[in-house]
Amino acid sequence: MSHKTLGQYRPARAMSFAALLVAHFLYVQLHVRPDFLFNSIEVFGSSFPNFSTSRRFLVDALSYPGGVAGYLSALLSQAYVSAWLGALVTTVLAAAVTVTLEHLARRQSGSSAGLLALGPALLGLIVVQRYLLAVPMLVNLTLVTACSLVFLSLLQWPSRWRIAAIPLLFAAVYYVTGWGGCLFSLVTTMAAVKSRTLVPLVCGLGVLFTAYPVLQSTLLVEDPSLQYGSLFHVDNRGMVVHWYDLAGAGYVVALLASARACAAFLDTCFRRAPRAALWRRTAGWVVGLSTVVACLTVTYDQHRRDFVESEYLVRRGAWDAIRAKTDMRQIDQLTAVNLFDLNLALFHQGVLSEEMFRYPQNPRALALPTPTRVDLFPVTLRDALLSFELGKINLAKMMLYELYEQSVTEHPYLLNALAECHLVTGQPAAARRWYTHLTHDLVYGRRATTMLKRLDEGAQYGADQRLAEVADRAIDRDTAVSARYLRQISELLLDKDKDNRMAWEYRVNTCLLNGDLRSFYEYLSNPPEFGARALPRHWQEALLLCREVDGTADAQLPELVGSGLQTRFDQFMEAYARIAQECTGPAQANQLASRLLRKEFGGTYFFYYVFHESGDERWYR
Amino acid sequence: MNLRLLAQVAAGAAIVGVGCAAPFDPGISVTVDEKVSIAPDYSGITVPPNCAPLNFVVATRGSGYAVTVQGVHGTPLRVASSNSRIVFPLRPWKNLLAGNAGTDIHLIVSVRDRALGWRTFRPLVIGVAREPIDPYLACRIIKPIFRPWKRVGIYQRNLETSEIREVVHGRNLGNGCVNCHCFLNNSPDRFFVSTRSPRYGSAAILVEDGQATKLDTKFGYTAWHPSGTMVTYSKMQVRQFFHTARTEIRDVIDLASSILYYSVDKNLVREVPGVAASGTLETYPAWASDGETLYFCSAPVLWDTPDKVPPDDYAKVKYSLWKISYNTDIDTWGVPDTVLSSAKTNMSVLLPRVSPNGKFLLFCMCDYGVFPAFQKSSDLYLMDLSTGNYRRLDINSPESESWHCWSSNSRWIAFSSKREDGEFTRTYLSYIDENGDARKPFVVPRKDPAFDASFLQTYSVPEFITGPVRLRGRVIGAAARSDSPKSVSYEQPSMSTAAPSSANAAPEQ
Repeated sequence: MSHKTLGQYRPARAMSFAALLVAHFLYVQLHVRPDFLFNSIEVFGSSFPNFSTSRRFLVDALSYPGGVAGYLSALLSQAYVSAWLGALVTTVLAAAVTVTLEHLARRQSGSSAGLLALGPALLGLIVVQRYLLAVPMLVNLTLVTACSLVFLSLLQWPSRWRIAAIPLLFAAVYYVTGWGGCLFSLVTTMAAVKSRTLVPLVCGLGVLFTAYPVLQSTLLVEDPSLQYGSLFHVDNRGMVVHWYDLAGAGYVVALLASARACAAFLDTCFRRAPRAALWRRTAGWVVGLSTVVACLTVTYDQHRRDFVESEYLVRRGAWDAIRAKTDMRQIDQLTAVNLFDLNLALFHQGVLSEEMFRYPQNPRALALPTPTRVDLFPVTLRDALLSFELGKINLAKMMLYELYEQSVTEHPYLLNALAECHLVTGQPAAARRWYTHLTHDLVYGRRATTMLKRLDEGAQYGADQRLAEVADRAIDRDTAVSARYLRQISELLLDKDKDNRMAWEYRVNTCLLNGDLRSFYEYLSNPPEFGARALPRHWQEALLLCREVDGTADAQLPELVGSGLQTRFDQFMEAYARIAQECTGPAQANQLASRLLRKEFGGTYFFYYVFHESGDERWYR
Repeated sequence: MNLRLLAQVAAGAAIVGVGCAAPFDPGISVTVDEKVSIAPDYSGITVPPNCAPLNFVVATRGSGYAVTVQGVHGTPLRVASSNSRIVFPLRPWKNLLAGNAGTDIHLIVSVRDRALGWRTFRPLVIGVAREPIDPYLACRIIKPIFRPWKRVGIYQRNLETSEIREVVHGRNLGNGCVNCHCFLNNSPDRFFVSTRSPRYGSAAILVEDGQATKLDTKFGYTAWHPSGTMVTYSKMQVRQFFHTARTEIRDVIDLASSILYYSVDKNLVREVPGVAASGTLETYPAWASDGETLYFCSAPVLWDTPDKVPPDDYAKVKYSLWKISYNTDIDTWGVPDTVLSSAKTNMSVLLPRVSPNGKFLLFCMCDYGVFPAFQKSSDLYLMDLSTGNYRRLDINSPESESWHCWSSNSRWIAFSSKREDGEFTRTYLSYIDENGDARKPFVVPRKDPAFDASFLQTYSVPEFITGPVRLRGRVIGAAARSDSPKSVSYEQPSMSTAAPSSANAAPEQ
């Protein structure tokens, strides 16, 4: 049996491997974007491991089987805060598991596993591009395959040393990797089965010993109380496996079980026919890479990517990007959440009342839909952030607390947002508690430490200008309401601060979306001071409708509405009247008119008012 | 033999290690007449002789810390640390406290400053009471819950060692809620706990004789009769609502409530005659230690529209304290009588708890409503039952105090307070002397003194118990998940179906 080490690999193979790793890195960094995972409150809240630099966190990790691997995974996962760092960590782990698996296959079969050793790395890539966290799986597989190599070395030891070392190794792997102990037992049983000693028996017992808690934790997850207090563990955290953990473990076992057969097959392909080896090798690469591409294409989850990316963009305040993304969508791809994001972007760019009807609007476009189980986290978070920005601090705080309660892991962003809520509501002592907790976070720790220092110095709102501004417009009139009505308190915002531009624009434009011209006109009769800007276009359009519909606004029109817009409105009304004359009934007239006038007037409020739809022509191509 | 040697070497290494970290020489230390600031603030408190180590963090910055604890008796305890966390070894601490029961101990803190050298601050005096505290405290640990809940657990803390263990957790019943734990005479072997679970429904779990039994009824606030033959409980239509600007956003109202009792032996639920009636709200039953008087809180219903939440006059709902006599032998009730009227206090009187020796009644008063934990104005009051006189205790803070309980020897109280930040409740202990005077309260000691400063959950409903609950949480959980609960008989119709009865006249408000 020949054993090759990394140093004996041919340069071409090493170069190919390096090229694959570079491609892996670039794919993850540029296409998958690990930072989308880190910044998704849904991904983080459900599966992303928290990490803390505190001693307590370390001690806790050391207290249960699998805690060490969990600690390492949690630490490495924090790299996902940055796209390139996250890609680097994923690539290094993919490389590590590939190299150790290749070595293991060689040690068992005497021949390379070839591209088949890339299986776990490919699985990791599939997992990460479905916006799930692959780091724990890759860490566990790497540790298990590396320890399996150590085990193979132990088999060469004298039997009396072996007797002592092998159980210790089993215990160590079980303690460090948790469920990985089960995989380790399987792999080592296969490796030792041909040695005519008691080692395979020991390994087999290891399988039984470790499979029980894993099966118990994974299969009986519906009945979690049974997971506790078993003979072998008191904490199931290191034992629960996901489908991809099972797939990775299954792949490793299958590959090693068939290592000899694979080696023989590869030998047949590439070695016994040297003349044809080159083209067969090339063909092998082509087939292998085609398989990778096919797997990645089939398993890529565009919907989930949109889901996490949109949250990322909103949280970053990337308003240009949100508009650009919206412009790339078809009308049937535009969800209620997308529309909400778009309107928020338009507001922050100062063009909400100028341009919102260039997009397909509906009466609920400025509010968020009732969250479902799928989008509970991102929708509630958006709602909380909007409420905070508007000045509905208690509503924001309530929603953030509810997210906090429902999160399995605690996103530091969430904790930071809660700290800010407490600062705005004049509870620095409570804010201090959140920040103290955050000081041990790798990503938010520095900001938390800075804020604590400022609070120590007595700085109001932690000397944060943004928080001071929010506090200025926060509702200060206390009213007791049920949860449903806590949302509908915009009037209190304007009572507190008539110049709360966001509250004002959202309120007025909601009137427009609902076709409530009377309320719109009332609001506009007593406008706040927003500088000497001209009235936004859609409001001018609505004023024209006010005159047309109930005769109000006549006196103000000449000075408030531009002459060009007046002409355009007249053209719209004439065209609509002309089409109506040609049609047999109002329904048919509306249908025909909306189709014919869409190109020219689709982006105006009067088009929306009449036809209950809006948007430039491009949306309806 | 080898193990012993190993332990000795390890202990020696630890001592050398600690010594190397912060060598302290009293001879070169400068005494300063300043009070050292420590967290938690343990200065001037009175602790039980079986108290867990009062570990703390020194707020004064320094490069080394040395603390000496000395009393009239016993060997002084010295601890040195290179960081500001002072953690006392358990056994020497316990010996020192036990040896100084009934006297004071002094906590002498020295801090090494790189420029000024060692400075020793004015000693902090801590009183050690003669009377021990019940060794365990059961409480709920939860995040600040608004509407949904996911992780609710009842835990027990060993007050002698600061160890904490789970009693039962919501995960044991499909992420359900566990609440209203109520122990019979502070005993860990017999208690009720209520459960709510979307999957397994609401139920009361009776734990006794090492078994847990699910009853097909749900209890609200529960109180054991001292004889253990029955429990009284409130049955409420609770509604939550919210405030638009108040720092405590949450608020709670009972739209309807009444008091019932469950005879354990007869497996029978009855209404307390003269108490359960329409037009009034009754809640928070509490038994006097002799079992002959039931205290409860009652308020008139002020609204005509039962579905409106909150009702218009929610802030005018003020509960009075009432009592009704009970004859255990013949199972008959007396006539309700006012103990403390809200008309007199202009506040809502809530959560009465009678001391086991029958001398005092501890209760809350707040501006309005039924849930003091959500009322910043809630404070603790003590009534001398022999005279009926009551007074506000000195242990209150500007934030909410609530959920109090008595130790079995009537010398210690535990209560929940939001005094630290107005948001997260922490459990405080206080010594009550024979005159009913309360000593400065202190937060329940922790092994890691810095833990609470960053712990983002609340402790609520502390209850003293005389030993650990031994029944496993999974057994209680299994009972809660059972689909064949013990069927309870009702002598009177339940609240939702009860017809208003003029015979059972409501207590006059």
